[in-house]
Amino acid sequence: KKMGFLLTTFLFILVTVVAMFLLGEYAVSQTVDQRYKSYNRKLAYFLVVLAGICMWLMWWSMYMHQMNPMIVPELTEEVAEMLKKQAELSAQIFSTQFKTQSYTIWEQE
Amino acid sequence: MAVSGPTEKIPSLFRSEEMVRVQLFIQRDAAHDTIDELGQLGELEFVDLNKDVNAFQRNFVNDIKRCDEMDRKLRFFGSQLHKCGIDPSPVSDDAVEVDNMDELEVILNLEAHFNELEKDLKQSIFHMEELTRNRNEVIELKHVLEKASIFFEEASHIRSQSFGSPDDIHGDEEIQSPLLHRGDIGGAGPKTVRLGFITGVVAKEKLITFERVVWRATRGNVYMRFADIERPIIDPSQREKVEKSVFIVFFSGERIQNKITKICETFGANRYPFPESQAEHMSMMQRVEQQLADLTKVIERTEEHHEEELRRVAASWNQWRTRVRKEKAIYHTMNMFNYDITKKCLIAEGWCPSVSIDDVQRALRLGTLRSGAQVPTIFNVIHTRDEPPTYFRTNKFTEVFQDIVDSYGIARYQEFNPGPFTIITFPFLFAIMFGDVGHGMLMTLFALFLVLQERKLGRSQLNEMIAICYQGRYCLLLMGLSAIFCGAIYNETFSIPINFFGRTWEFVKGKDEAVFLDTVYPFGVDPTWHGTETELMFMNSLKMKVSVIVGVVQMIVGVVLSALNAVHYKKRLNFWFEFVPQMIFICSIFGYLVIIIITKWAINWEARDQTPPSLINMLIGMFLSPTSIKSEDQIYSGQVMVQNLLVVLAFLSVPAMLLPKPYILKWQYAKRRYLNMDGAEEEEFDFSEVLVHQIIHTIEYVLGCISNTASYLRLWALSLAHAELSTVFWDKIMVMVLKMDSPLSGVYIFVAYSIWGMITIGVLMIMESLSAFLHALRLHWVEFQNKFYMGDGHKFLPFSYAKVLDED
Repeated sequence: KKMGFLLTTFLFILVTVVAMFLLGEYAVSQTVDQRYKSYNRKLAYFLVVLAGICMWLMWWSMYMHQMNPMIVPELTEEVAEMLKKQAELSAQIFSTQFKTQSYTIWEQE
Repeated sequence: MAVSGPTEKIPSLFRSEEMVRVQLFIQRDAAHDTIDELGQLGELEFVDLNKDVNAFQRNFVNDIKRCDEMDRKLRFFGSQLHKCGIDPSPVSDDAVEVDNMDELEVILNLEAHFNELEKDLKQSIFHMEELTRNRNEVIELKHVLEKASIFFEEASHIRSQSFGSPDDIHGDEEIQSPLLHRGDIGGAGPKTVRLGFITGVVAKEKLITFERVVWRATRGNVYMRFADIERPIIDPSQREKVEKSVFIVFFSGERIQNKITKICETFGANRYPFPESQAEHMSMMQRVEQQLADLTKVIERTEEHHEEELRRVAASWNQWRTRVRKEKAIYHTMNMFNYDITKKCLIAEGWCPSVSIDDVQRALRLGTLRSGAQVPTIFNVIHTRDEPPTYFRTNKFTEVFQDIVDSYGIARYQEFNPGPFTIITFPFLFAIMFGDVGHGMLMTLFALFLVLQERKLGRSQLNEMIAICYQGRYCLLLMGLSAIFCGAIYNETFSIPINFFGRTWEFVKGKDEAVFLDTVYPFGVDPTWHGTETELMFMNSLKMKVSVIVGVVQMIVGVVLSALNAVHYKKRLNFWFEFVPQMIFICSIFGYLVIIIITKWAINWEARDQTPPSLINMLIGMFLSPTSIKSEDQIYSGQVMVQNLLVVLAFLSVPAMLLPKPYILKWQYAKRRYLNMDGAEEEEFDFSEVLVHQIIHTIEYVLGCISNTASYLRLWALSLAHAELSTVFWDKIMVMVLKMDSPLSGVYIFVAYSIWGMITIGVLMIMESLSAFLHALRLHWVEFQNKFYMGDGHKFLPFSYAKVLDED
């Protein structure tokens, strides 16, 4: 879990930095008044970093909330039905070697 | 990079630009061209030096009146163009930039030109009307001649029948009506009663009434015949086509003639002479034909000429309009100056960004050069105590977000601008409430359409609703993209989750609860949750925590921005006795809450074999029972001590916010008064007022912290509503129909899909997005900005042709 967390965080930072430079250059290329090139570039950097932080925040909350779950999913009739149907269909489509986790139990009926 | 002014500071969107107050001394001769140059530059805001002068008493009222006259003539030309269906050639993009003042005629010549054109066009129109009227009369005459001759032919036919011998009649004898010769038919001898007749044309719908009135008025002593004209013709005195009939009325006596004439006038029936002899008739017909042909040709020629003139006008119409509006703007501006008639000099005052001083000076030099005046304009920077206007340079992307901030209040001069934050956080908060990949994609597509077509749409006249969407196209684009991202995180695409990475929960036979597979779903929410019993509990807990985290972070950023403002305005007092206590307060309570949330997430409760304690109870317990925590409620060791410390800090920070600042201000005021005992003007210092102000500020802040944090929970509420709505619509409309097994299911699916589509667009896209937009806006305006934003400045409105021409 920790590895996934660090890896994805690192990915976020990487993408943000790359986007920062790309969008900075894009903003500069779109400037009409040449005296304000650095103004636009700096603004683009700020905006991209801010957006990166916001997006990471959302992702991080989701991730951490699911890391040590305090609530467990409980079956309902509809979900049970759906899983059963999925198992049947998958058994028809794939050979028995490919098993996804959720239907192994049903198959053992 | 060139030196850009006395302070060399690069402007940024974070603080409004530095402004200087300038004074210009402009020579009267150079005034017009100088102001023209300044208008093109658009960087100078003029202050009205003649505020208490009535608009009609200002110096250049006459010039403005002349411009208004020219405008009126231009509108007349425009209506003429419109009538003939000619479109004026569109204004080019550089209508503002291009210096076509030299190429076009000087304004006086333009005035004369307009006068001439107006006269010409009016004459043209007048002639056309006359000619058309003539032509219509001739047409009616022609019809009369044709139809009435039929009567007489019939009459002579009957006559020849009744009188037998045809050699009584010669071809060119008088056509005599048999009625005129009662002769053999009966009666007491040949009475040569002179019958007169009237021929004319009357509208068909009035025909019957006309007949009746004439019959009654003449007591039946008339003989009338009518013949319809097949095609409707244009009545000379009106413009429309009317169906008409030719009539001929025979009567005897002069009194009856007068009566009938009056009746004809009343009914708007036009009378035409009818020649009695055959020869006259034929020659008249010929003449009429000739006249008709002539008139038609003349009318055509006149129309052509008229159209040609109008086309020439159309080519320059827009340019002229721009020119006239520019001139009016120049004279309105000149009215704001102080006019020293003896020295022939105008004194102007205004505000200008300090980075544009060079540009303004260049414009002034250009103006002097163009007008050929002897004395150059003098440019002075003066000092004043007035608050300078706030100026943010925005481009088409940042403009809409800056407008959002400005709608709440224009930033005070040089305070920190929440605009750049709004560009990202506003779509972000919107997306938290709207998160759905499918809906986000629809919104992005719509916004992309507006953005990619922006040139074309920018020129055309748009429906008001679409115009609002068009102005906010970049905002919509960002909102859509953020919604796609948040939807990916919530794992909802039109409320359907997508299993990208493999489930992390497994359902075991016999147990209702799933087993956790000890890996975390890498991006977003695990799709296993969808449809389960505990889904709502899970999502609620998640979204509430996210809302609180986002809210507290945004508020802390707001408080930090107030610190930045304090540093910029060099107000130490604000920094130490407002920012620091505020920061301590919010961090010790709500910052602590966020940290506990994160801690609770990070701890493996199963391994600890403890049920995770409720956060709300913890927070309440922190204040109500600070000294002890039950062991099953403890999250980390030492919690009691830490919490006590934080509570004490929070309590201490409240008087720290409240008391020091007013007392220190009072002490400073007393010190200033003591040092300036020679009676220098000092502002009044009312201690009670300052204290009350500070009390209000403190209470607002303290209570606001709590209520605003709770207010951020609307992020949770709205995202829940959105998710539930889309789930319900999908499940109840589409899934129900998809599960059906009837042979007609294709039809049902078709109908259900249309319903689902329309509901999605109407309820979810339009209503929900408006609602989320509004709440995100409120969160920004109230919860974020009341931590630091003063918003009591006024906007920089430079004299700029771009803005003047935009207004129309």
